[in-house]
Amino acid sequence: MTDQLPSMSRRDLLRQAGMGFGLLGLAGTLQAAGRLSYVPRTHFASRAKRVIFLFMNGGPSHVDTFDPKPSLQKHAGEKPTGKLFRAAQAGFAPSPFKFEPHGQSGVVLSELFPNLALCADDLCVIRSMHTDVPNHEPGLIMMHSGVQQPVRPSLGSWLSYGLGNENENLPSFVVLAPRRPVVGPQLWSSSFLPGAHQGMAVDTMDMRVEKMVADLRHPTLDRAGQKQQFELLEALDRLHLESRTRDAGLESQIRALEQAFAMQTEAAEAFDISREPERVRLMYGDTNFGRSCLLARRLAERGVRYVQVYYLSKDDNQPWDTHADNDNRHRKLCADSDRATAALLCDLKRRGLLDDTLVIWSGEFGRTPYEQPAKNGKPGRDHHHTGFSTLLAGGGVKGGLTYGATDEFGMNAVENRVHVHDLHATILYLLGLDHEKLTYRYSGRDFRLTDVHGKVVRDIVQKL
Amino acid sequence: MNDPFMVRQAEALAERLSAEGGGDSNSADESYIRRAYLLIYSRPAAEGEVGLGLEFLRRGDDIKARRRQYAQVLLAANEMVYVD
Repeated sequence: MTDQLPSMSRRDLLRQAGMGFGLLGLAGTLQAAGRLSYVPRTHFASRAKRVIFLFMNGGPSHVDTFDPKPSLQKHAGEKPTGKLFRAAQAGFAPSPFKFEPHGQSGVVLSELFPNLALCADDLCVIRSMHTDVPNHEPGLIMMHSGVQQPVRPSLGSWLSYGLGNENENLPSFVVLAPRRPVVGPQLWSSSFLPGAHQGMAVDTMDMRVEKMVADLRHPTLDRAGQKQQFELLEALDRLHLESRTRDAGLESQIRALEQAFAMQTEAAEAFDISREPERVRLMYGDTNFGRSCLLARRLAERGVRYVQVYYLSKDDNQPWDTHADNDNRHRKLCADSDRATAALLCDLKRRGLLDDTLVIWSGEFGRTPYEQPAKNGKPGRDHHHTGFSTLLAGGGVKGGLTYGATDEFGMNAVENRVHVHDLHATILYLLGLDHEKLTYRYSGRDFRLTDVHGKVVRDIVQKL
Repeated sequence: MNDPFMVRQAEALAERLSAEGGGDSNSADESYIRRAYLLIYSRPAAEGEVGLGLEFLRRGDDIKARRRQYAQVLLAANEMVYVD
């Protein structure tokens, strides 16, 4: 028999000892996240089951890729007029790249995409994208969470929350990046949604499985031994939770451990791209982005709901930000991105996965149709948010379609304008979710990915 | 839980608990558990927790190994990871 001493929780102790300050940071850890109470079901028949978002960090130049503007040649050097968000120090700069129609549909692409040209009839090019601000951080946060102000749940977290996962042995939302993009973890935050919907960030700098997913194996225990250990841990955590029902973080941690335990059976195989035949690896290209696209396919194939792939380079966490030497840098970036993206589309198609896998290729915004003089060397293009292009393929999107248009110079989206909110609403729609009904009550109101905005772009959606 | 650091810490903790809790025979299991709760969480173990602990410790033949695994669980539990 043990005497039950009068007990004082560690929180009380800390507070009474005048150390309450240290608890402020803890609130963030414990906040929101909660039991998985949402029963996954769709509002509409879904066309897509999963999403692979290829993010071109820094913002690719639309007039050099998917939105040809011959007028830039005619008016080269003339300064743009009208409202400018980034001061024009120089005039319009024509793209040096040739544009041609491809496939039966005649989707027009620049010569920088010889491989994607072969998939033209699967592509839906939205040329009329626009967003709110021409700066990376708010642009990134907007594209990821639909709000400029951090931190709101990201698109991947909303989808995970709305639809759950197809594979209980893998997380529903995986983020692939060599190190971290600008802004970082806020981009895959579940924010006030339950913690299980946060993106699992995987550093792809070294793509050996044991480097990407640490400690997949217990150093000494076998699976059966570990199961016993895990069951004890869960039983003790449940006892602990009984008297602390308001701490959602505790439930999240229990779920995270369950997930980690489950992952041990399948992650080693799923994350191992060395199991792919050499010809497949060659098709994607032996680059970080190529390997990441291949890994994304392996994960999508195994039922991961949302895979986010960031295009970063070894020494640049937003390589598409071509303020200087725009043309040469686009030549190099596009060569890599074109090959891997086209390989991904072909590979998904060959496996019958493209029909229900939505692939998105986009940056946070585009680049100015006018020149930005460089201090040294060749000129570049500045940030541009009032008109840019986003590429979609698969997942119930109409292929071989060019949608919307910017004006004569590529300055502003003018025809069938698609705001980021509209893109989000459309993505949810393709996955069978109504962006006005997918809500989560937090801080006294129902939150949505699209806030009070967003219109589904039905014109780009295939009829069922 | 698979990090070698956690495994090493659990080993060291198990040794200390056995030394302070009356040796490493099954007869000392209960004092091992109670000592663990006092040392790790600064509170006495509840009876239900002692029961779960005893059941775990007696499920295998290798007492030392079971005790290491048990110590690791207590270190990885939410009560340890989160401050109330």
